[in-house]
Amino acid sequence: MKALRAALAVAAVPFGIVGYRILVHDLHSSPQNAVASVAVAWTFVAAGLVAWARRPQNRVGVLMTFVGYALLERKLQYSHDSRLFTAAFVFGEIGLGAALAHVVLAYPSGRLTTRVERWFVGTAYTAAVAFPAAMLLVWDYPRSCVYDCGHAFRQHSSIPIAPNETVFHALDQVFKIGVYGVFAVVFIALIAWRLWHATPRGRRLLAPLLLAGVVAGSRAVWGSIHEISGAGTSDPFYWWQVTGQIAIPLALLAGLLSARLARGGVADLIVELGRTPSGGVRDALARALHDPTLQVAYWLPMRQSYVDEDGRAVELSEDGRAVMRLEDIAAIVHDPELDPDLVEAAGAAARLALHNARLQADVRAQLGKVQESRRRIVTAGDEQRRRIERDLHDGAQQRLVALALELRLAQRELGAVADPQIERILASAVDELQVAVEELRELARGVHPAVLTEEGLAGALESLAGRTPVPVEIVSAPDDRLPPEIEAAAYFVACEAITNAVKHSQATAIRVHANRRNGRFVIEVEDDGIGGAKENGGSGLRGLVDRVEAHGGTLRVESEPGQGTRVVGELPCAR
Amino acid sequence: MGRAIVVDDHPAFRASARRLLELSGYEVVGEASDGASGLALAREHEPELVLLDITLPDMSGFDVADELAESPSSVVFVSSRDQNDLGRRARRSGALGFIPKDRLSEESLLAVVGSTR
Repeated sequence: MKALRAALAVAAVPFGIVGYRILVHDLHSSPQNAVASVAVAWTFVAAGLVAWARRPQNRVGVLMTFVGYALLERKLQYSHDSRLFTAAFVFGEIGLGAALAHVVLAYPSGRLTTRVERWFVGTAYTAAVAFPAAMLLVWDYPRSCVYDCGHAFRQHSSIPIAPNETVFHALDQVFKIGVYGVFAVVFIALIAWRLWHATPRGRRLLAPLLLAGVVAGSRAVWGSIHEISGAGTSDPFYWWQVTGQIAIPLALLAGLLSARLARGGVADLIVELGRTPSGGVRDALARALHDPTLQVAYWLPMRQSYVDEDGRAVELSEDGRAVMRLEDIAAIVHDPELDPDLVEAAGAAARLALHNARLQADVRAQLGKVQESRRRIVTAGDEQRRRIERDLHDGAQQRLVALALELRLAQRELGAVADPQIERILASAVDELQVAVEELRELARGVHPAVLTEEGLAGALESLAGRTPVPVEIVSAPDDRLPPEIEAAAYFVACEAITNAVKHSQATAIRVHANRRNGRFVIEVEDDGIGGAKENGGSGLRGLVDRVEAHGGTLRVESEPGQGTRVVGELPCAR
Repeated sequence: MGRAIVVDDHPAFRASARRLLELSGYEVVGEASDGASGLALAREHEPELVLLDITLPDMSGFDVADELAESPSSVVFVSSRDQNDLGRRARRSGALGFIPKDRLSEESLLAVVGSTR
């Protein structure tokens, strides 16, 4: 490839000189106009070869070189040699129209990104060849003329199959006015559309090149308008065209320079990553690539999905964004206007840091799953408790109370005729049944109090206070219902704390606060007992810590000896 | 003493309760196993006493009692749960009273009905 580029660079020189000679001697251009025309072509070739050498994977360089050569080839169509004219005329319009539009629209990735752009460029190439070819077929020598028509010499097609000046003239007009003018307008519209939809960074990157494209395109529109009016073109138009054309490769060179500066940012990235914790890899990449919207998603092979750095599952959104995948590690979602080579270089530089960050994201994802599973287990446990309480109530409890009632009726019906022995047995059975029912109620309450299900936390706390032998003051309680898992966790915290206060702390008064504070639900139980309680003291508080933490909350025990005990549970509660 | 109906979803308890009410001098004019049927029965017969379970399959006994608030019937709640386990509504209800099912007897019924007469 290097040899090919060298050969193309060398060949452009004699090619340009031949073109210059034809422009001056055959087209009768002024030497300065001819030099400018060749200089435009050489600028394209030079800029194209530099771009090609710097970015062999990017087609922009090849396209620029092609435009340069097409522009050089265009000079040959002014030759007085019929065969050379015929061959050059067929392809002469490619460089000035289709290829130029192609390179501008393909910048910076080297690829046409939308279907409309592909359609436009394809049609432009077709029209650029089809119209001149058709004109050569109906060329009516010596009446037909396209260049330098004021001069005595007239060019001659080598392939005039059906000479017809009327058809020739019509084709010439349609091409120059209809096709060229319409295509130039569409070209400018595509540029405007692209700028409109580009990200701010993309606009900065594209603006110079696209502005040059607009200058060249608008000149074509203006030329078509003049063709309609029959005014012909003049020197100012020529220099307008030259300015627009030469600005394009210069803008590309500016783009290359900015890419080189950005590559310096990648070098800085390598240094920065050495000092950055793995959580900061995204920020470092965003800074190095000057893309604050950049996102990094880490690939978890076991889950076959992407997660963010906190381990949360993410979908790669490719809507209007570009994605660069680092195999088995991560995907970088970035501004589509960023140079893909640059993103790849940054990704390669950050590979080790991204690998570490991916491992951390993996651990966080697993931790998240454990946390979620823990919450589900507790919630399922609560649901199970509710069901057991309902089953006890609907089953054993009902049967026992029905039996008690039956025995009472038996007592009543036997009345005075009953054997005293039987009466004692019946009375004892009724008493035993009542004890059994009471024990069953106590058991059901401990499993999951029905009042908590029916009336929520406030009712359940009142009920709890009502059956506690030590005075319990409910200082505050929520008026509305909370999520069932929060109500259950808060209730069991209060229940355990009150039970401990009664059993172990010799408390004479207990106060309960239950309310929302800053998006959390706080349950607080304080007593005036002897204190000295410990979270891990076998008081059942350890189990409560697990229950509260399973819901993302915290539980703390403040219990200095002689200063009472304060148990505070905090649970996340958005509503 | 008047007419009564029993509203409870457990057939065995309804049968026992009917016998108890009859022994206590009530004429049991109907039984219902859910709240809606109980309401319909109460509106049809307008009994002096409605012995009403709190936990019913279709609605709460408290809601049934609220519906009957304007009727001439007196409501006595029964439940296999303790009154303390039933929360605020049991304490604030307009019913004549509450008797845990395991304590239901002629004496407890008379105590509740008689205490408010």
